[in-house]
Amino acid sequence: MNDPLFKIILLMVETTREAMKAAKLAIGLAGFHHARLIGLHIVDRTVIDRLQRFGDKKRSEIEIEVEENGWKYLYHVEEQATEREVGISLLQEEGLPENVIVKKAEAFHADLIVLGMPKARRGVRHFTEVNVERIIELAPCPVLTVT
Amino acid sequence: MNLYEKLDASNVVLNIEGKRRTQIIEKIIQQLHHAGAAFDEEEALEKVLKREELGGTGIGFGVALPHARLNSAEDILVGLGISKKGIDFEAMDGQPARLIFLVLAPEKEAETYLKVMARISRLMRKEEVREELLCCDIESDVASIIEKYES
Repeated sequence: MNDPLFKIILLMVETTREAMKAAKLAIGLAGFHHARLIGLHIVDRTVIDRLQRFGDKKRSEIEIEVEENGWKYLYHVEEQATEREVGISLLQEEGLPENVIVKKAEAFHADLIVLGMPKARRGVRHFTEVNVERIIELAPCPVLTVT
Repeated sequence: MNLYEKLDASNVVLNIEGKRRTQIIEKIIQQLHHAGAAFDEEEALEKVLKREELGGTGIGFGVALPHARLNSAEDILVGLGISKKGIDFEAMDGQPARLIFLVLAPEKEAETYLKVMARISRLMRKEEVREELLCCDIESDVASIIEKYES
């Protein structure tokens, strides 16, 4: 029998609609290929800086909100994966998303990276922007972007 | 929703022992049941272990979060086992879990269930919280430590 195409799929979990579509697709792919899914949420401190600058909330409040929402989405994706009997591990990391995702893909020997790409990312840099082009350029494996 | 309110002293097992994660999970479930929580032990064990079979619930830093939603649970329940040796819960960082939070929730409480797990996961990323919990030698101190960092 041939080796499965994907053994490890790294999914970037975010709070956008496209990221949730990406999660659904990644779960389907993982189920089809009997691959293991790693759900990764990245706390980007530069985004927290920007949210603080343009809002009324304290930095500590924003940090709590961002971190907890990230975990909520991770567990939400986990529920969807386990319903499909897909094995999943969860991870939250801090840093610049493009750097963290590439580093984790290398560390876990990911065969595929899946991430959502909101319209704003296809051109102008967005408030909570992830540099998708940079990820594609540096990733040690194929990258599937979902719009 | 406050996590510390869910962590009554009777829900805590200090120096929990067991060679496999199945034994640890079983002990925490038994502890919750002995503490008077209303849920079906068999259903809890079956569902929590089924989740574990799909991959461990270790989240790194020596923390694990086995969990399940149950038909038989009437309220969200949180149990904590503190292990001196640590047990493998297949965390991505490879660290054995020394703090094992077990979360059980009614089927209908999806939103609060996610909130509770998110709260635990966030708090447990803080090294000082983990260290204080690991040094705990009285069950009732757990809630006070969580309250201190939660508020």
